[in-house]
Amino acid sequence: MKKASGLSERTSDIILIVICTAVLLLVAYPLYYVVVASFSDPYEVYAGKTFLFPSGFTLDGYKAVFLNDGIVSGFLNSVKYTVIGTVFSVVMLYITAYPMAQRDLPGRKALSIFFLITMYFGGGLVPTYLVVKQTHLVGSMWALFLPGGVAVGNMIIVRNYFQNSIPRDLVEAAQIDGCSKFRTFVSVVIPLSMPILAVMVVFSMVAYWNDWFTALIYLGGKGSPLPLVMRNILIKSSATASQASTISGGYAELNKLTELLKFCSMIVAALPMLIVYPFVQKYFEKGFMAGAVKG
Amino acid sequence: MKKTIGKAVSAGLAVLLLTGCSGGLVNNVNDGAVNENRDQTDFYIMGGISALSSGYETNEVIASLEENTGIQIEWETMSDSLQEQVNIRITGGQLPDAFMGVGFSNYDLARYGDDGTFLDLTPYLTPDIMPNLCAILEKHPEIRAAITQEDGGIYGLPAGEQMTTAGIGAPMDEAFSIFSVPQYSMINKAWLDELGLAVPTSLDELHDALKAFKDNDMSASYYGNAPGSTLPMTTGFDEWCWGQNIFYSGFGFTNWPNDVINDIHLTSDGKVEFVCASDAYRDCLTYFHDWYAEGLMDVEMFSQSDSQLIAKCQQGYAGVSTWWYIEELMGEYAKDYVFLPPLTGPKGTPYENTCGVTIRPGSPITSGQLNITNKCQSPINLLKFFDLWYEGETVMQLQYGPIGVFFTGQDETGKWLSITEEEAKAQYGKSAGEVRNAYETMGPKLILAEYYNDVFYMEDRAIERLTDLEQFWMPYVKDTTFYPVDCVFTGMEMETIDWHKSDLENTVKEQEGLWLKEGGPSDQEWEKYKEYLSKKCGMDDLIQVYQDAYDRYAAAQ
Repeated sequence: MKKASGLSERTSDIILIVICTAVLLLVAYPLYYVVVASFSDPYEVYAGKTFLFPSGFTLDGYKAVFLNDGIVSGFLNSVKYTVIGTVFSVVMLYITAYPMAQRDLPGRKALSIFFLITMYFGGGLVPTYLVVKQTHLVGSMWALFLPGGVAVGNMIIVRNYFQNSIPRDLVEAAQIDGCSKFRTFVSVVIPLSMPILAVMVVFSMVAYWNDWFTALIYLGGKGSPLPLVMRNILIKSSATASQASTISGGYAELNKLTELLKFCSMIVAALPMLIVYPFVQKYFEKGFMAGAVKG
Repeated sequence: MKKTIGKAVSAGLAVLLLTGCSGGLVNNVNDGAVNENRDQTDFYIMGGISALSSGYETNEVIASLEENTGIQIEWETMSDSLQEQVNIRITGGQLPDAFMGVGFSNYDLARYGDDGTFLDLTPYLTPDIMPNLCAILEKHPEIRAAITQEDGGIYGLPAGEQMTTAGIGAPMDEAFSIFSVPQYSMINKAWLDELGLAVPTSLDELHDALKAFKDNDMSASYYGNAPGSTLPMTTGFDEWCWGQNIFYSGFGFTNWPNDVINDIHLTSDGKVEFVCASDAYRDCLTYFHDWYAEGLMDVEMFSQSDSQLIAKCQQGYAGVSTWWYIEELMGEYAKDYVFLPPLTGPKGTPYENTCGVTIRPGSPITSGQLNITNKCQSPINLLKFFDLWYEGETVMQLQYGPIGVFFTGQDETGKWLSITEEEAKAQYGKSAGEVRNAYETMGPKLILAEYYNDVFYMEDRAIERLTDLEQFWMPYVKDTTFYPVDCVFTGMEMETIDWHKSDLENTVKEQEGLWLKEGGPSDQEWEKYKEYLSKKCGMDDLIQVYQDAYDRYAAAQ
């Protein structure tokens, strides 16, 4: 009897391990492939010659990326925008979501609708630009954060978390013990909401790290973040097979570097996030669905 | 009381709205008079720049021009998302003194000219202010016609590059643009020899050759690539220099991507039509579907990028392909390839003796490369600066690079010689093209065909290409009419084009791909398609518009 159950456990282990390995490979191989491709001759990659190891090994792509003057300042700018932006966004989320979670907030429903509308309707690029311009934010870092400072989708998640996962009894107990509303928020609510805080930090962090379009429109070419610098490197090398570029030839060579840079810039831009991710991940698992399920 | 308050509020609102509007309106500056102000010497210009340029601030050619005219220019340049940023600036009313190298369409020019954003330059085109440009316009009335908008205004300075066979000795009025035949088809001669086949002259022969390439897996057996890697024919789909369109010559047309509108065709007696609604087009797609079904055409032809095509060809997988030069596409295998001439149609059909290559126009003369806005206080000073751009030697340096860098010396006739690849490598450690890229400016550069005869030599690659064009490809072109790219449209006509053009082009492209892939249309499908084009895509209106514009153009010649 024991023997039999032991065997079946083993078999099921094996099956599980096989499935998990297959899934892992499915997920990890494309990532690995980009790494390999960033070291390979792109024409060999496109001809299907690269599988596990680089073919036509080259460091030209990384050379072009790291020899660019903008890369260090781009990285620092990105770190700055990500840190400030994340702190700003999370603060904004907390100070909007907490009042919205109070059942006795006057006009709560109207406020909810007010927030919801912004989720579905936006002014579009040009009107938004005009507003930003008239508030004299163009060219300033704050143009990246202030418009759209409250991510309404996230705000709803946080509000639901406050409503459902923080026991009301605890808040009441704190108040009976003589806590002011503010003290309750700081000493009870915030420590209890760590999982959702971590999730929001990750969301904002990733969003600010990847954002290049806002910077392109509002910063006017000064203080470009890393993705924008990367994009410029890529554009600098790129040409399309069109009338203008075909006359003098040399397109095939030029294009080779462009294709290579696509892979290299992907790696360089994603690497910092890939490094940070595991450290926040333990909170992430706990908090991700915490506010949403009982919504 | 309440009513009065309401009235007061609404009146106040109305005032606010009105002032809000008038703040956005611009005083119309285009009253036909010359603004004689000459005080402004510092100008602010926004515009495009080649991504490879090292910047206009450091460009010695521009610096010397600024010095000559006593002005300073502050540049705000961008190589990417230019259109969006320009639109934002115009809408937001934050105008520079001028836009350079933006490439405004005639549609934009008419609109911004009409609302007074752009200055009408007509009164400024005098030998006093712009001697060089006036001399050119005097000699080439067609350039003036091309940049004059329908309302008679000229809202930008002309730009264009007339690279034609005149540069290699053809008479000026019989010269053809380097863009006349964009796709040069090529075939692997080594494979043909190995199989004992001659270079095909008809579609039937090409079909047999492709079949032989496939059956014998030539890529594997001749070049030692992996088994099954042979691609008898690989191209893009309706792409600029790497499409399949050259092979349609067997059905009497080649519908290249066209700057005017795709698939437009002008018959020799001046009638505008769309080939995508002709019976030859239908027969052609029905025919080529068989090739596709037999696996002779690359299944990836609809989805591959030019990089993927180059990758395949440089591995020696391809039997037949198309590109601008053989060497560039085929890499180290280039020596095995020869040009595959335009072919005649399939035997036993009415197309048996048909071989029709239709040519396309060269690049247009446009006026969207330098546009002065109503912000500019002293247009005369700025225009004097830009007039210097219309000297042969200056525009040559703006296009390629300064004398002393890109141009190394003059020959006995006084024509400038450009740097050779070896010299560029030795002196600057880059290719001649890269040297050029650092200096090339985007702006109102008008490079006339005659400059190649008496100012400087054309690039070697261009000469090679034009020689091939004149000697190998043009003999296959029986009818040299094409729809002129310089036709000027009225505001209404531009509306129609703007409304229908992309609809028509997209529908045609989608159907063409579908029929190639899944078999030609049945009678019913064909009728439905033609009806859709006329009813939903405005084909009839477009024909009317293009016909009218052409008739006016022809009458003015």
